[in-house]
Amino acid sequence: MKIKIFFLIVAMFLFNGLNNARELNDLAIVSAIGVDVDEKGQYVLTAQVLNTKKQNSSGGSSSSGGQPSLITVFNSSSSSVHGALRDMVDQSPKKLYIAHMELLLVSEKVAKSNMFETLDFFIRDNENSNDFILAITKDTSPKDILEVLTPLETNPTQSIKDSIEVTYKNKGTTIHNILSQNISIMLKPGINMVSVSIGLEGNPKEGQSEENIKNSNSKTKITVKELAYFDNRTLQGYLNEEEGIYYNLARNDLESAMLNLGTKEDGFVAEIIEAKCNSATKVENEEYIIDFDFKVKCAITEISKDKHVENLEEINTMQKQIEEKIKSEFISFVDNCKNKYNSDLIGFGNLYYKNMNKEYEKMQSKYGNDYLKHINVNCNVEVSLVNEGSVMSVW
Amino acid sequence: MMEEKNVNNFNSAKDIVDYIKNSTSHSEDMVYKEFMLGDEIVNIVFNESTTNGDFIADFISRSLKNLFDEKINESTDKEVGKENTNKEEDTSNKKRKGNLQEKLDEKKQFTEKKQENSLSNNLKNLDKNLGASKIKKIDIKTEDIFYYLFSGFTCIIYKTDIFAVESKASLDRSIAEPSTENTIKGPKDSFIENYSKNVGLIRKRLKTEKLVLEEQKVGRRSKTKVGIMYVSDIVRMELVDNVKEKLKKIDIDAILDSNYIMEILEKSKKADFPTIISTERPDLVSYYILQGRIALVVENSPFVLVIPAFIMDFVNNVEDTLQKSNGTILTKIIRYIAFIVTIVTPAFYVALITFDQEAIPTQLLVSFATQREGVPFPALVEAFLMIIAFEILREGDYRVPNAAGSTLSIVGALILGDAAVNAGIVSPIMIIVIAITTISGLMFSDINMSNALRLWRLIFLVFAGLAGIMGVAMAGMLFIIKLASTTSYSKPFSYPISPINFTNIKKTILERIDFSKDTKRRKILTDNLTKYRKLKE
Repeated sequence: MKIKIFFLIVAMFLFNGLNNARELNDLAIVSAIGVDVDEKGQYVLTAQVLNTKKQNSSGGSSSSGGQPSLITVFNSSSSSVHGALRDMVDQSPKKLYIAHMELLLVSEKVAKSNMFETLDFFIRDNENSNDFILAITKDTSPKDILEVLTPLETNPTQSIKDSIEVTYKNKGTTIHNILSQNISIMLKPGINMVSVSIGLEGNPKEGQSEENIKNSNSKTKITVKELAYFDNRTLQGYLNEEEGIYYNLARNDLESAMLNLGTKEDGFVAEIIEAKCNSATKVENEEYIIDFDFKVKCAITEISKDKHVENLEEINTMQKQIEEKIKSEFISFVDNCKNKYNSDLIGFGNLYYKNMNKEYEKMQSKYGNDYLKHINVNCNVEVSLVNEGSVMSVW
Repeated sequence: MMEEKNVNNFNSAKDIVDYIKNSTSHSEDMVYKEFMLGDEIVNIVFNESTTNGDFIADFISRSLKNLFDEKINESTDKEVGKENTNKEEDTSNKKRKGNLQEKLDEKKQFTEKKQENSLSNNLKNLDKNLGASKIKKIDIKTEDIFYYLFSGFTCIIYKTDIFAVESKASLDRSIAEPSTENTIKGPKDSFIENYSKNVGLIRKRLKTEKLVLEEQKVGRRSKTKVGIMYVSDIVRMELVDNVKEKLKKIDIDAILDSNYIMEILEKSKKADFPTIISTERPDLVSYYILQGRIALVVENSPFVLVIPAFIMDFVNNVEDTLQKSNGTILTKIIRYIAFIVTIVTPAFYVALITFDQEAIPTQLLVSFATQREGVPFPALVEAFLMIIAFEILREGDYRVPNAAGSTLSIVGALILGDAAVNAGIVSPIMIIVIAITTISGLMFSDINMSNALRLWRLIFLVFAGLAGIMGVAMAGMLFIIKLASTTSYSKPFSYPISPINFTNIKKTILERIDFSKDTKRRKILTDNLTKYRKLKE
């Protein structure tokens, strides 16, 4: 009897699993999806599918035309995202499998109207994991970008993903957030979301053909652009490239960045190696003040011919210069947020929400959504130059 | 056997010889000889295929004659009075012993009576008078004369007395290197088919009076000797009694190998894993005996059984105790990984590829998908095909004569490795998976263990094919339940992992404790714990 029950339980588990079985051969692995809307308001979906067709290994790669393209792109339009995705099956012999999607491209048009309505499918679908990157296509359509073949990396999606990561890690002008992080920022009070944007250089038609990657200098390139900022869950515009660095700095998320100081004849270049940010919120005389305290480690990477690094004074002035530069740039970025962009990107409100919740509520009731203009930001920068290079002076 | 025996009284040697002749149906390799010693007739019976002919000619015949001659001399010297003359004996004496003729002539008158008495006395007590190392007087009514005859004894029959003198022919190969349990360091001798040599190989390692050998004969027809060896002040006697009891109960036609005993003792229907160690290394057996285990040496088997067994005995290797402890940590970790790999890899692969593609990194998934392109079978069938093909190859490799071995491996490697992939029947990744699985399985030298691993590999695979990672988890659960509920002579098989024992885990799982610091034996096996005594300073 016990054995019977045991086998019944085993069978329940096992046969339940049977419907989920799908052979790898029957799946079309979607690496990226682009969402756009056409004039009629229909969703236009572009899916980039990785080509898993076996390559002729014995024939040798030299044979002309033997190699299939590494990606295939399907297009379809419908009144819903899922509907558009399902309609693609008409073109594909395999089921579209989106669990391995790594990139979601959203056109400016969608981002400016109802982006999160669109994203609902990707967040809700149980097959999907929310670990893909959300990017806005600046001045181009997702379809054009997804059709471009990329050099160096055979999988274009991987290429885009990698260049976003590399830009974030080495240049500091962009961010590296996955969708779930984006959404968690969006849901927090007192902070607005920023997003990566990518663009296209060159003719999108030329990018589709294999010629694009056969040339030493590709005619069509995909590039990482400035950060796109949102307010009220809709796309408002783009930051300056430099401002991305200060955004990351203030979010305590800066890996590395480069600063140009002085003029060409009398200046130098510093690289931020390590940056830490501490922020403290306070309320004085009904005034909301946030103190930012940056601790930055820098290295001198390049100096112009009039500069000298052998005397300590010179180094100290350089240090001061860097401090001044970071401070002024940061303050101007904050001013831009307040006045030009009119969006709480760094999350001043959120700092109050977290640290001084009652004050945040007071502030909300007092100023409503205009609270940003009533927050003053102080900034203190501490720079330590850790490396001046092995050359004392310039030739 | 006993009831077959003609229990009527044997009145003369001839009766006994006839009885032997009839019982063996006049088998051609039985040799019957009559010896005339004076007027006494001595019958010699032996089986020529199991006895050493030289030994019988050189030793038994000669010493019988010597016995007779000595008696004559002795009585002559002592000059004891005589009464009767026996001409027949005299003449036979003359014929055989020409050089003694003169002496005999002089003294024959008064020697004969005494001589006859003493000779027959001597013959009656041959077991005390013959200088053979192993001689025994046997009673035909209670003992089985045929056991002696066929295990190489020569039976000397005088009237109704039977004496069995050992004259075994050496039918064994010499001690060679172990063929299944190789080590780089350590002793290189291994057990052979000779029972007493096997016992000797253990004895010479433990020269203590506490090492006890008890013997039982098992098998109605084979009458195989089974020696129970243990160290009497370490072992728990209830275990010995238990084993003895079980051996006594065995009523079987023949024991041809120690595996028969193993199977009967361990009730193998219930346990997938071997709960008795079977090894051909005497050093290993000595090591186990010293822990308080029991060794069963079975006649005609080069494998000695050790009771009880734990899973770590099969996963770990003797070699670990022979190398530097620090150096073996990595080896051990690799072995544990291999243990898991050999069971779950195909299952895991099938589960990932057919159910849980989300869990595979994208790049890898693309690579898998590219490789599986054009393969006509589902992954589960593909895995089964490959496993079966590899098992066939492996079984063939075991059985094939050495000369054909290389042909087989070339054909196997070509067909399975290259041609099958090129033909698009299987994907290259499946070959890799099966190869890793098989190679990992080779680490476990015990054939019963690797059979158990193979069985569980298939169980895991079926579960994975039906329910993906969930199935693997369920099979894993079953596996753990099975392991944890297996016992070996009422000792938990999965000790020291489950019932957990941290001191023992420290001793066995990773780093082996120094010999000088490992002062205690394992409590689970013995009550006599001290094994290393520190010098008092």
